[in-house]
Amino acid sequence: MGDSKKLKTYSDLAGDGGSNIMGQVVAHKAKIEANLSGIKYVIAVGSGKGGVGKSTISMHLASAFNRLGKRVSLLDADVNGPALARLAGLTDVPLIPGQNGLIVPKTKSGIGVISFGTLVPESEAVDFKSVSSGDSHVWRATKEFSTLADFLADTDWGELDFLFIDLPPGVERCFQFAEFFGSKTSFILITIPSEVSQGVVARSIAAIKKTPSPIIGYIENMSGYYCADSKEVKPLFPSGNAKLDIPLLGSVPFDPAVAEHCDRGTITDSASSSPTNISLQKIATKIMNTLEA
Amino acid sequence: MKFLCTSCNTQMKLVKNEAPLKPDDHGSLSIRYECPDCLIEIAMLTNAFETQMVTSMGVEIGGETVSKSQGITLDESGNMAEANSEPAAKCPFSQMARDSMMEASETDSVNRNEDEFPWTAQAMVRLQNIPEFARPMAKKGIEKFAHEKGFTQVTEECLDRAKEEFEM
Repeated sequence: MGDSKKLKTYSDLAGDGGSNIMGQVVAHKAKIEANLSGIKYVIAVGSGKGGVGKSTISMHLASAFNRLGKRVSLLDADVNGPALARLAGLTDVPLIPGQNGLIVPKTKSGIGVISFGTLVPESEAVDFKSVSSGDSHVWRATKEFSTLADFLADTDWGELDFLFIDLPPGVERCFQFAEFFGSKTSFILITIPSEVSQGVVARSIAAIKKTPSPIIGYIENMSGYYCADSKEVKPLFPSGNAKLDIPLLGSVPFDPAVAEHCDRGTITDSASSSPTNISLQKIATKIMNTLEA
Repeated sequence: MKFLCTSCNTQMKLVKNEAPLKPDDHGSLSIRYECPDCLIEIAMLTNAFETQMVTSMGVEIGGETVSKSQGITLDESGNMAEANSEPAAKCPFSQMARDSMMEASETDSVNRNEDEFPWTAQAMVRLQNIPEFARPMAKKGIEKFAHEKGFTQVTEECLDRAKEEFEM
């Protein structure tokens, strides 16, 4: 062929020459969609801000819906700082291959939990073998998402009313997960009453609104401190902060007794009379009504 | 990424390998493409960084990796007569990662050669069908359970019993 003849461009070439990379990606997405088809509601619990209680609220909400007779499982999407295994008391359970994928470990009350905290001891960081040293900042997030995709595709989620996904901190992660899960997933955002936290969560709202994923509302955690002696909820943060521009689902006071259950992995056994649990039970009912309206 | 034979102005095709691709000691892969018209062949050579990027996507490229249904031969009783000792990863690169993880998990394992604990083909297929990241721990945990319960091999019955005993 002479130099004068115009060479074909990328878009002139049909297919990819046999590597079928895009075909594999599309097939994997379809597999995930099929595997989640038995789940009525997929809810991502995020914030953007770290340390506001996303995992604790996720576990509590799962318990609240479990008490309402709903079938509930949780996926701990915080690969690097997984907390749900400990909160659920499932740090030391075997992983069992079932007929339709990985069997979801369950708490005594029947809440399913998939967490990297079950896979990797707390004394170790979650690590991926690499052939390229010093470049993990480039590929690590991709690897984490592909690993999470494997868990969505190859776990036997079965028939569920709710799958809660506990997100890692980071505004950009809210956006990435909204893109990753698609419009089937609704978001609940967690904040505490500080302006610092609310500022970050406001950014997360703005980021998620750029995607098709709906936001159900937000929960204000640590809205006060429950004193067992006086049986009163006392303030932890100055009052009068502006509210966020999405529905407030409820406020949850901090109860040291419930916090102790969190550390012990007995969160589902914590007293239903605790103001924390009472608030979250009301919030669960509100979420249910919102979803089924 | 596509490749064009500039002599023929024809798209080059991936030359599939019979064995799974593995990076060399420097993390480099050699992936061959051929022009279907003039049959000229080229090799795309990746550096470690590029290899890792593709690995992280969790896709298969450039080779015929052993799929979930391949590589396993059953004997008359339904046991595995011939197979790889480990389920193959869907991605040739991630095979390396799992191999490495297996080495790590064996370090703190019970004083027993885990390779000697056989799995039936059906049980092995189940193991292949769970997330790759979870396989080493699942394998280790189930073999420990099977050993404690007096199983001589990991069978589907053993897996079902573990499910029952752990109330899953």
